[in-house]
Amino acid sequence: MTTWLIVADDAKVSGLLDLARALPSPLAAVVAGTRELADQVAGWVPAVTWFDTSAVPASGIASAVAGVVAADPGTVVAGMGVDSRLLAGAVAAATGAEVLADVIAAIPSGDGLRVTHLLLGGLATEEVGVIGPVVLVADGRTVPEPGSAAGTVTPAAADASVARVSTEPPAAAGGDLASAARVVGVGRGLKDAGDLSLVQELAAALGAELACSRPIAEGMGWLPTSSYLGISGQRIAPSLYLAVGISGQGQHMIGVRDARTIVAVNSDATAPIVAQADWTIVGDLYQVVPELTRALLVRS
Amino acid sequence: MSGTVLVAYQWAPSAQGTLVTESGQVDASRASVGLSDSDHVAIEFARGLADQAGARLVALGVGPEAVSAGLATKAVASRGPDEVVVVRDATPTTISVAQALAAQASGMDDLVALVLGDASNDHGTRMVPGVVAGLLGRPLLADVRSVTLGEPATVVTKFAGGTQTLQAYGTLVVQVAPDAVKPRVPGMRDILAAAKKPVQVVDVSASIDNVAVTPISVSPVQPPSRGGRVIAADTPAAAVAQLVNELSQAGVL
Repeated sequence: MTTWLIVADDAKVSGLLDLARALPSPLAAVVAGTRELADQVAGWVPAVTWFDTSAVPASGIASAVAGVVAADPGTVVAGMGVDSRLLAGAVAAATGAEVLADVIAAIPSGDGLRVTHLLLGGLATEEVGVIGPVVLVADGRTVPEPGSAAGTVTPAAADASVARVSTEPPAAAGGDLASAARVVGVGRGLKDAGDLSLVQELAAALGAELACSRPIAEGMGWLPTSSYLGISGQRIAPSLYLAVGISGQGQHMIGVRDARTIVAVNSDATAPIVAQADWTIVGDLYQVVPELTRALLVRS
Repeated sequence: MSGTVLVAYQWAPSAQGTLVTESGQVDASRASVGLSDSDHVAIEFARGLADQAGARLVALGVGPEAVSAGLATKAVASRGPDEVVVVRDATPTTISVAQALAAQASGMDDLVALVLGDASNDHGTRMVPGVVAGLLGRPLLADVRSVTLGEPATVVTKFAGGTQTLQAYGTLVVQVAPDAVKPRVPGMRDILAAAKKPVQVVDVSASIDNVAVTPISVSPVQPPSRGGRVIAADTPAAAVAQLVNELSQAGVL
């Protein structure tokens, strides 16, 4: 039996390695990506099966990846990126495995595992006992230090059922909330879509990505749905989160609670955000934000 | 009409409004029950795909008893499907829901596409689409922005911050990007028409499950404690100056 690591989106696998190394079975990896990524993973894992996705999408090799794992089934650990989930789903279907997402910890227990994972988008943690095949989906977190495992990399081919015809780069630079070091979030304290320029200028002065609370994206449609943070949106962990006109309801704060520092601008000194922020300026955002933008520009 | 497009949906309490008590009890009594945002998008996207194919659109819901209530099926039907099929599953899990969807899909010889939202039919795990595709032996087309039907179909998906264009043959399993289309708001005519659309209710077959999952405990997640420093200066400029100074001293800026 093997503990399988599925690596598809990038080399941010420290969280996955922590989980996998706590399990008793020998570790092997399936990598869907570049040869460089496969070699990187071979520094941490002794045996790597590599599918080159430079010409085919991950969806085209999913059944082949599932076949590799099904030939020697065991606990599977995968990341939360789109391609990782796609491959993990195919593996679960091929091996009859249960799927647990948002996994925080897994330890051997009797004939199975004791797994702790987040529930309800992060409102709670649940501990479960699992006996039988299982796919653990977890946050890969960061890129580990280069490893010294000197693992083997075995290229594998797939009869891809989907072909990539072309790719288009991002229309505009930036926009990756998940990896942004600084994020400005705007909420219903903003009165009009035309006022978005206020927070856009603040974000630019801070070198931050722009995000929002759910109503701004889902209700008002002022920003794309991919921009909203919270229980049903994105969860981020920047070094600085600046919340502008956001009251701080629990559903939003779950999306930003892992930020190292939270700063708020809010007109209501009793708003929930005040107790959940490291610093709060109590004041009218229409006065405070332009001042803050100016101060940051002068400072830079 | 030629062919069928299936769209999966979830009728469940929203995580927004759900509370977890200190003793680990999940209280969804104040949570609104309905379709998830991603399912609104999936149904709208699937309607467009069905129109493109000249196919009927069947909405397929899996979940506890409430999924078969008239309120639920009418709410779904008012968003564009021609028919609604609900599979009652008292204790849905990622695997049981995926198996139920796959069972319904594989029973349709004229299936053009199975469409799912980003977080359809599970509890936010976002794993159902991948498992369904695996069970059907089809590739999952993930984060899809658009589909132009044909042999092959041309599929545009999000990719590395931009997009990629794919070619895929046969029945499509499509996980729609959350911002692929803007969902409609049903009007009175849609709501009235929904009451006349066919609804089929079936009970879930015994799932094929060779894994024992035993709940041990549930605990609420406590937010980390924060500084809670409040700056209330005489003027906005003074407050900002104080904030920037303190953030600089703390190494935040």
